[in-house]
Amino acid sequence: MRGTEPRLPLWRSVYRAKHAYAFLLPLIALLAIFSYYPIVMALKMSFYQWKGGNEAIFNGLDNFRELFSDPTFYRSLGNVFRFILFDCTVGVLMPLLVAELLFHLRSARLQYAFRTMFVATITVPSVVVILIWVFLYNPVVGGMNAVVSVLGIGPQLWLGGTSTALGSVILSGFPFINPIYLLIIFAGLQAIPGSLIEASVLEGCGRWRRFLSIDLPLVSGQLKLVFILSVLHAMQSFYKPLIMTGGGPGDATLVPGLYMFQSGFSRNDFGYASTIGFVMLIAMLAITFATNKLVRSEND
Amino acid sequence: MRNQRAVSAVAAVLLSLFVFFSFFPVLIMLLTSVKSRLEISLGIFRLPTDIRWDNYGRAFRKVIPYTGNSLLIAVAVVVGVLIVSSLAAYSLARYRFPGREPIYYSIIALMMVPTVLVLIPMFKMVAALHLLNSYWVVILPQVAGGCVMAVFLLRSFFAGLPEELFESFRIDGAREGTVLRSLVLPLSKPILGTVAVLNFNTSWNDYIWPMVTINKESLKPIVTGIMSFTNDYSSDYGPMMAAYVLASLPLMLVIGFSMRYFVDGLTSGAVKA
Amino acid sequence: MRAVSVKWVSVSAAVVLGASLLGGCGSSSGNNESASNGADAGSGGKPVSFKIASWAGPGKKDGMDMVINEYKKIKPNVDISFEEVAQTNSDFDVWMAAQLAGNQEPEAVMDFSYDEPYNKYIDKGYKVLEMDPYLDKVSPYTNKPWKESFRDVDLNLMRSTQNGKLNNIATSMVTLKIAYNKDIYDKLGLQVPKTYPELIANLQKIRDAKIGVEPFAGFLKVTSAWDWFARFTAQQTEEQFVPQIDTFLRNDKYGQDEYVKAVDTGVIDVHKPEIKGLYELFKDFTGYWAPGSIAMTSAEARDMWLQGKAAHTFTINIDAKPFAGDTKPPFNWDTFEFPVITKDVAPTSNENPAEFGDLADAFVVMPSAIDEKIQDEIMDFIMFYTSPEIATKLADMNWIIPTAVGVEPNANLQRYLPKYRPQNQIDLNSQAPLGTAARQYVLQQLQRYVLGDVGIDDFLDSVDKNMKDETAKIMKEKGWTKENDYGHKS
Repeated sequence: MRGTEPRLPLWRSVYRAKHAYAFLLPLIALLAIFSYYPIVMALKMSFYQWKGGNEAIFNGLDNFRELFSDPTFYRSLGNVFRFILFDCTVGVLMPLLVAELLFHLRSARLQYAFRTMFVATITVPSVVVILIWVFLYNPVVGGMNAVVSVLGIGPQLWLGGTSTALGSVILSGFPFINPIYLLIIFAGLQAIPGSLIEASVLEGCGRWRRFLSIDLPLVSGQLKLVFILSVLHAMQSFYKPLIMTGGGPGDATLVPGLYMFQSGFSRNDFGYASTIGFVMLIAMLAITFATNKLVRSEND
Repeated sequence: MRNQRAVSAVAAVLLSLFVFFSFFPVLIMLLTSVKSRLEISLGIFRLPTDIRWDNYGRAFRKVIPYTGNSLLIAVAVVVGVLIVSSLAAYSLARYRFPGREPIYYSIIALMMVPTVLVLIPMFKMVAALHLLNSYWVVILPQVAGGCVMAVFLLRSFFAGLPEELFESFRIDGAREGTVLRSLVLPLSKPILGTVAVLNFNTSWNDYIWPMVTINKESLKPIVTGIMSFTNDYSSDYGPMMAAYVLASLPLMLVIGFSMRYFVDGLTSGAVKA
Repeated sequence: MRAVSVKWVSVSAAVVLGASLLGGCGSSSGNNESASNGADAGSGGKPVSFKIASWAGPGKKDGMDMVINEYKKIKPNVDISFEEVAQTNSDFDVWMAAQLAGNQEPEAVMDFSYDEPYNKYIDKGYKVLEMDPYLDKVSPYTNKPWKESFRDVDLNLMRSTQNGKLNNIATSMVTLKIAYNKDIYDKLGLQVPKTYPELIANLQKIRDAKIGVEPFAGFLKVTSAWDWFARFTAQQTEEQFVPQIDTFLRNDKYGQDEYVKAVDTGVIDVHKPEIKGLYELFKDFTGYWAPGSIAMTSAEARDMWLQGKAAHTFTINIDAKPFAGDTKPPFNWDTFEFPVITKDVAPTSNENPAEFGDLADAFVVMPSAIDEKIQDEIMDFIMFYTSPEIATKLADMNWIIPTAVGVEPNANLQRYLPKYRPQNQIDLNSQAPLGTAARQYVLQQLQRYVLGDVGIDDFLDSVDKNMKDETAKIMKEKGWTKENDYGHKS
């Protein structure tokens, strides 16, 4: 199937691959109606001044001009960058660590049990997690100040302090083990041929060495996948800042996703919200493209 | 050998710690679900002295009418996603055809669109299509959304299946549909299971879209339907937590089920282990 | 294995098929129940139905259902349904935005009062019912013109500052007090404060006593507490500005055009001592708030007070029922009014406090009702809702204070009864008349100022700049200039 076929004229290629197109058809049809059409409509609005009602006034690139000279937007970018920096490193390393630990268990039953439990954590409603952390972060009645006092740090304002708010929101992702990422990486580790592992043991390879030279390269595809997914998720998410701090104090925890939501639903500036969305989309495309190009991996 | 046992023990301890932290919110949820309003105000971590089992009674009465809806929608979504995305991912992974890469990237790009942006145009569209207040208005967009990530995951997996397996099938002159059904899908159980669990969960917990598009009480899913647990200008958390606990039970069942059938180790086919 | 998966697929397929049969393709136009059956204005007897939507609130559904049942007894041809479509008001806003965009909105909603209906609906170009003409109509339930069911000052507040029209009718009043822990007061020998310096002295004493209790549990995640403080204080320290600013409508309130003119001509200058002083006073006050208040909501603040970890908190009359039942404070407690701002604190104070309060549960009638020509029926129902008899029933049921006059205050609301004159929202600090964006900006900067991140001068400068920017935006959008006297000369 690979390699040495002569190039066919286009229509021939298309006909040859008619199965391929047929299989793709249901997805494309569904996406065209329920994804592409609304998105194009929404993005179109970034060229308008739209209050969410029935009238929209075309104003060309005005929204974009306003956005690129908007200090709040840049601050939100700075904030989300910190999110990404943390979530996409710790958030990828932790599932990797857990997956590796799972593999070092001798009992397959224990492994199965742990695996199921981690997957089950996906059912926790995020509103519960947020509630707990908001309570923990309360300087007066919560537990965080008590915890850090053990470490010798004085009482903090956490969500209510300008310098601590963003960090507090980021840390509320503890323990940063996303079950889906875990499953993906675990599946990748599972796919490593047993023969390779045996060979390395026979050669007297230490565990750490094996991890670095066998495990890591062979799951780099999955790691890349998880990295991209976590970047995309971090870029778009705003639920936590919305509920925990409303973007504050000031705009210390404002992220682009929240800024977009507020522009639309609080300030009736849906055109501007679309503009933010548009710019975010371009940014995410760029990051994904760059990651794909920079990190070569086995299966792609 | 002793070394391995020691390592295994350490691993088990660490994993237990991690699981505990991951499950901590569930414990709090359970604890809160039996508390009275006053005790909830008095502190999240306090152990209740005044246990209110009737929170579950109230929650049960509220949750039950909506459970069927959530189940139906979630199952339909999972089936839809699995079928549509398997077909598409298989095509994208194993065939070469004009426009393959652009199509793939166009699909993936959909993951980069913030969903809140699309809410209003999508609503206008489904209103114009007369889909409001039906199961379809929730199912179809959820399938569309779920397929994007599913295609992303499945394509990567399908592409990694070794060529040799396909050779033997093709030599026997199998049709494309058969290849997919008999060879690829059985091998892909782990990833299919992951996709199924993921989409069931997302569908089950989807709140905003069903809230906006379904007004008929009889069609609402659980998370949207369990409202008016308010007794005060802030929510009545006791019965609400009980409702969340009850609502997550089917989810837990589904996960257990799918873990058993789909992720039970790779016993079929010529896959390395 | 394969057998299992086949069975699985076929079961699911059956389920999906079943679903499509049951669910169908949905009703043909969303809210079919609410389609009018051709009622022309005012003719009783013809079946009419409409829907009222709101978000979940304490006793809301019970109260409304009760009123609907009573109404059905006298008007059996009218079918009303009330639905709580969202859990919070912000979710409700999302719901409404979508419904309106898709022409699926209900006929009426119960929403916030003041400028919210304008900002949420009219600003976007939707035509909401203007209720002014109905004020002069005689209500069949009181046999008097409808406007006599309300206090003028309340009607005035319900009017929009943008166009001076009445686009909503609030049905209940929210009164605000400060709740305090009597046990702590007794323990430290404190007296109930009457003036602001006395309050501060109490707060300071509590802090100095170091008994592990914060002086005050405040909240600044949303604008409410700040709005209340600003309006209450401004009524005493900024009232002298009213004649200078209230030049067009002369209604003791600031319309947006009046406010814009005042900013543009420099009458409103945040560096003026009265305006600057109010901000500084707020910072002074918040100095005694529990740490972390910036990120707290009113519920969290109240919980802190309930746990005995703070001696005071804000409380509104909606708390009365829970505090008497479900969440009864485990200590002795009472309330007092927000203390008078005395001249030694603010030299321009008239020391004549106005009530700390708000209006809530407002009916807004949506364009769909006007299209179906059933607005008269809906207004009739609203007149019924605000008649003294029904208002009294609601007050007894939910312990609210109705805006309808002639209702005896509920005996259980002793601690929450209004004592002072009504307030007029004449503060020059929150920038509310300039719109939500300006208001949010002030809140943001205020959070930083209160935390000490910025000093008073930088704070004033940033608020000033934003105020002028927003004013310029409004002037441009509405075509107001100095020459055409801000829209009053063409």
